[in-house]
Amino acid sequence: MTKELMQVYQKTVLEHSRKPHHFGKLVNATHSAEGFNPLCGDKVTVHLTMNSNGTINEASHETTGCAICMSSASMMADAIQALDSAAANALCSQVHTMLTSDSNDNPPGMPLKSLEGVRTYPSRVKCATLPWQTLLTAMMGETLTTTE
Amino acid sequence: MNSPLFNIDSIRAEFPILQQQVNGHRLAFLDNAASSQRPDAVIDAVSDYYRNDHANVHRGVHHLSHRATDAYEGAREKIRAFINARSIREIVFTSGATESINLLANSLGQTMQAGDEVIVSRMEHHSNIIPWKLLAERIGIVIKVAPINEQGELVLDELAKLFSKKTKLLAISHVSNALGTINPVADIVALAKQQDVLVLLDGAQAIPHGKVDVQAIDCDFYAFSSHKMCGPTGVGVLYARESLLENMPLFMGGGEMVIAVSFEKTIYNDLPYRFEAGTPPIAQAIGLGAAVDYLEGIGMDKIAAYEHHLLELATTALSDIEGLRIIGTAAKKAAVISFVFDDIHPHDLGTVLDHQGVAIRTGHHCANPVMDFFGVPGTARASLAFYNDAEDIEQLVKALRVAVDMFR
Repeated sequence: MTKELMQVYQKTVLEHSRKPHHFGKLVNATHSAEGFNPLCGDKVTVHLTMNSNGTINEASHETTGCAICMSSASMMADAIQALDSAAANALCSQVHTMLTSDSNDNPPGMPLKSLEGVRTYPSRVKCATLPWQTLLTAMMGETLTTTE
Repeated sequence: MNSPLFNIDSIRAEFPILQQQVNGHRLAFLDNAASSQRPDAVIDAVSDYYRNDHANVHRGVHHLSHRATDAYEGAREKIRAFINARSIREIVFTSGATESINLLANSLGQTMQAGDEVIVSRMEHHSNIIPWKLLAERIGIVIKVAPINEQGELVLDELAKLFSKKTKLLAISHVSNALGTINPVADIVALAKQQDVLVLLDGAQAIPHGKVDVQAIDCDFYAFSSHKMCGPTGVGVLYARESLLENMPLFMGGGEMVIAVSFEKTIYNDLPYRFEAGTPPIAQAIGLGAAVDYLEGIGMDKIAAYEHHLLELATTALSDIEGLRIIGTAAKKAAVISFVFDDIHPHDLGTVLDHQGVAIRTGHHCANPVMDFFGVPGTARASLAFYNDAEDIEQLVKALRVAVDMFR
């Protein structure tokens, strides 16, 4: 197996994809959004319970997709529990920059940083960004987003 | 399988693109149903045309225009003979199978009214669904869908029940791009003829894999693309029975399709030119003619037999991989194998295989209704051509085992 491929499918990524964290519905969700990638059929649903000042009390996801999409959603759900909306937005933008540019400035911490290798695979970047795009959609109070 | 009749090594040597490494591995190109590769003969034909003969066709009195026209019309005659059409008047050049179907939907659509019915099947490519859906939205035709069974075969008894007095057209694929199923098109056409219904066959996936004889099949329309049969991209064909084409409403307007124009009166050109508005894809059509020569030089029957041998080899080898499930197990199949693993997503497979030099297609293959029927978001698809060999299949199997080890 080549080094580049191991960079993408790191142990952490595979572990999250096999046993995704915070998977399922949220009984008291205040915000839910669905995200689709019509080109590959990936689908991520993000559920949030947010309080009145915009803090995410709890987050979950229901994802059907590849290992990259699944682990990105799983790591995201771990990372955003109890974040306020400013911090969640900032994290979204850190992850987005890491996945879509060559910049190494201000990357997110581990385990999210383990998704960095995906950026060398242009055809797979949207697999990793879809959960985050869906999170932003849910936080804005909207219910649907697509990658195309 | 090297034999005096089919020397795979010398065939492979004629495809320059196959002589390369991808990601440090020998290239095993198994995405031929998406688009085939081209032999030197086709690449040279296009290049020679641009170097020596190019001018617009059917226009100039000068020498190059004559040469370009002769080459372009020569290609039309080669295609006529290739599919055994009665006349070159039945061969309309389009940009590809998709445009061929859209041409028909737009032209024939003008003769339809609200409530008229078009029958398609569950296994159609989006290109044989959307043109009819657009027509349904525009004028209110009704689309009826013939079902398939668990093997991915058309259920003919159910198809037969869909005909009514309002059925104007049966539009169905000859070979399924997602499943490989070869439909019994002659039987289907006979069924439609009993009901006085016209038949369009989407032949995009059939034409590269065996002899197609439109008179023997007796279909009214047959659509296909050059790029899936070793020809250039950007050109395709709509075969249409002359007696029908003669009376079909026009689709696109422009130069080439008219003889004389004034603002009071237009005299339209003869068949097939009145359906070819604008400067046609000249070089591409000439390249397609060269592809026809090349394929016939090998022999479509030999290609079909060799590919069948490859399909059996690949089906057996893939079936040995634990957890691999083949989607599409029709009794009659072209060399297309769609497969899934319950616990490995097709896109992850695609990336891991690519790293080992193996090119396959992953996703829904522009056939969402097929994916929905089998309850999968997508599949991995290995599609073989006559220039593939046993080594390509071994490389695929080896790469799949690496992926399985990695994801389990």
